[in-house]
Amino acid sequence: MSFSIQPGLSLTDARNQLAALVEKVERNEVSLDQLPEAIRQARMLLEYCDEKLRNISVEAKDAGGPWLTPEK
Amino acid sequence: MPDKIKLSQLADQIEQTLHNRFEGTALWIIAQIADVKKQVAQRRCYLKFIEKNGAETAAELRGVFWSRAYAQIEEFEKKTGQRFEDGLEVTCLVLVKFHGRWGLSLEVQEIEIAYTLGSLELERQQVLERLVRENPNDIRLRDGQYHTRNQSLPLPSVIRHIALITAPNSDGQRDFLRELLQNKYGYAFRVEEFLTQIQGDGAEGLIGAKLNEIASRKNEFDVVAIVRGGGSQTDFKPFDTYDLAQIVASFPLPVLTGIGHDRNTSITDLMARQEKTPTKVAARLVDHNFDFEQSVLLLRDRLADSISERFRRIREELTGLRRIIRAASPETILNRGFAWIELNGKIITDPSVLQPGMSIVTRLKNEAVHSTIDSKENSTPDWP
Repeated sequence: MSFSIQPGLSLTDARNQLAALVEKVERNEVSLDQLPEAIRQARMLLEYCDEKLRNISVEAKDAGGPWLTPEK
Repeated sequence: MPDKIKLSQLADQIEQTLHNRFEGTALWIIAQIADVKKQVAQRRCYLKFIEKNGAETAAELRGVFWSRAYAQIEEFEKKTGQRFEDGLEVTCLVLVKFHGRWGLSLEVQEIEIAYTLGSLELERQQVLERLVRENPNDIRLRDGQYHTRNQSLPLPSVIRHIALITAPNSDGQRDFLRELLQNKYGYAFRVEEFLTQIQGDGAEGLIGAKLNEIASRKNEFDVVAIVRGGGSQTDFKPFDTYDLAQIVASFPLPVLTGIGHDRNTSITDLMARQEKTPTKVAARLVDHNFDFEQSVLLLRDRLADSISERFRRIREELTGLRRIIRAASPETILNRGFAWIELNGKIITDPSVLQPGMSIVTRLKNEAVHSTIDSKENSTPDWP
């Protein structure tokens, strides 16, 4: 029942899931009591994209060359 | 006993004869060059001019660029993007010189750059035609534009894993990495470097080998970047070869090139996604991720807008309801001059229960009137 992001989800798929969620809300297909859950899922997807773009903590175990992360 | 002359006398005679024939006469020659030895510090260049007839060498004469003519070599390399090196066919303006000790040599005055540009262009056209002819599934020419299978590969939404082909410790490598690392959005990239010689004879084979290595691990990368520092680098030849262009055209990962040449586009560039410089390749990757992030943030804004619009509508509905409820409230009714009748503390909605003799209470604004029913009859009010 509780929503979670499957490991290794591609960013394309993450964006597609977010788009589907947004469209459902826009079409009024999410009832008022389901809305907090929809918002929680959207937030998780947004954070996932942010983490992947900036490599915040996600894949320390990744093989290959070093990650280049700009200094803050 | 025949007359004998000294070697130096013979040399003088030869020199004199040649002088009479050639002095002050510069001649244009067509020849191949070989054994090119540039002495950069002294600004001199020694070489051989040769002419081949099949496998035979039909003619071979020594040649030299003195410092005044040396600038011609630099100009040649700058304009043609081609190193002045063995095997090239050139046309030159030369003076014939003879020296008793050093022998015959041709002193170069000028190189005809247009000739070499023309033959390079011809060679380039031949390579392009062959690419199209022999790779009909991977390379097509439409409206003067080359379209390749590689160019039609979509870029992933976000680029994170980059295979970088470049020369070790080169400007291109530095510029590319700096631009990636200093991106102002904070995007992270993983770059694996495939270092190789990237110009000079045979470089296309070395670059090709690196590409094959990447292809065998293609799941680990999103794109390949081939970069080379700009500046005065001139040797463009590896990127104009059939072999390298062919590998790139059919390569299974999107290839971006930044091989730093302002005037020309190499054949390999035509097969890939071309940027002018390493910096621009890196900037394009950063921009690509920026576009993705913008599309996600747009979705976030749409969600926020949709939710606040939803609550705005609910608030509006509630306001409407509140107005209706208030209009229907007893207080409003009494204020308007209406009254209701209670029997035993209950409001009467069905007047048939009322009978003469019953005690009732009539409620008005701020007043309750107690009375007993005298009589009743059916009647409909005359609405004002």
